[in-house]
Amino acid sequence: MENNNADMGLNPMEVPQGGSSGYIDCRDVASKLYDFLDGELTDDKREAIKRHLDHCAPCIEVFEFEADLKKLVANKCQEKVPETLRQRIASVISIEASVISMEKDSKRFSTDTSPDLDIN
Amino acid sequence: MIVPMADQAHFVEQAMEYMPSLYSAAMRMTRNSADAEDLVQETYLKAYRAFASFQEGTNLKAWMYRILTNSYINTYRAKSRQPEIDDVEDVEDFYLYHRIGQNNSALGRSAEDEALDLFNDEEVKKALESLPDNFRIPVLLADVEGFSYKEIADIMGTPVGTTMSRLHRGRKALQKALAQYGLERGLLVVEPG
Repeated sequence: MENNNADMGLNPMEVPQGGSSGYIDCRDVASKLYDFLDGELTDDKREAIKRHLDHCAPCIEVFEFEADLKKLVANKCQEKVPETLRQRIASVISIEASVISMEKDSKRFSTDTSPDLDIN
Repeated sequence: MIVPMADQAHFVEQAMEYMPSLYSAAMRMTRNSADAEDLVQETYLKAYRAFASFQEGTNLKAWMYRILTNSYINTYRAKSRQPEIDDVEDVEDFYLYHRIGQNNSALGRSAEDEALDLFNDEEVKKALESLPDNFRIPVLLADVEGFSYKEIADIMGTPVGTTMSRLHRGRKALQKALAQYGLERGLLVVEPG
């Protein structure tokens, strides 16, 4: 990620530096926050961050806030599918299926019916 | 190794369950229900026709999203004659947290969860929809749909590094857009700069 200069705005005086065992500090943890929340870290890195969070209240506050925000975005952006759309889709697929089945039955269509598709 | 090819007859039973999330994504992409419905319909029709090329056992949801995203970019974005904005403002890290979580003495330190709850559906949707496509789509795919960075890169056809950078910047821009609503609601005491 590009946020090497991640700064949670913490007062350096209140920032625990990971004790004496050389664990990652608040700045490293902040730069990995989204990778952590997105489940993109290796088990080792994930564990190192969890160990840091266990004893760092300021970091856990930011993590919980960002995790809540991620959930908020997911929860608030759900839409109910209109029943008419379900019916339209069922209908176009059923028509397409019968067209394909007719084409299979009719050899003369067999050379020019490759679907015009570009999913890339 | 023989790769089992998908049978069109199984398409309906396998693909229909993704309609709510595809429709929700289409709404955020097109920003209106008429285009969103057409886009989802087009996606299902293309997917049905191409289903034989889908490799059974791989990620059908991601495959459907790739068709949706490409259809959106090729059809709807091309149709909108507005110039493509391909950049977002650089926003500081944890923009919203700094304004709601920490610096808001009126709400108190434990109030950030409640403050987030105060954003309603319309505000969150509009904030997300305010982002340019290249930033909105990665945020949508990561935060709403839970796709991995690799999957998002595949869906969008961009390198993983580019994808992650856009996701990161898109999230920050989203926070700033939400902060504007927070300011209007009196949730923020600090003017978003």
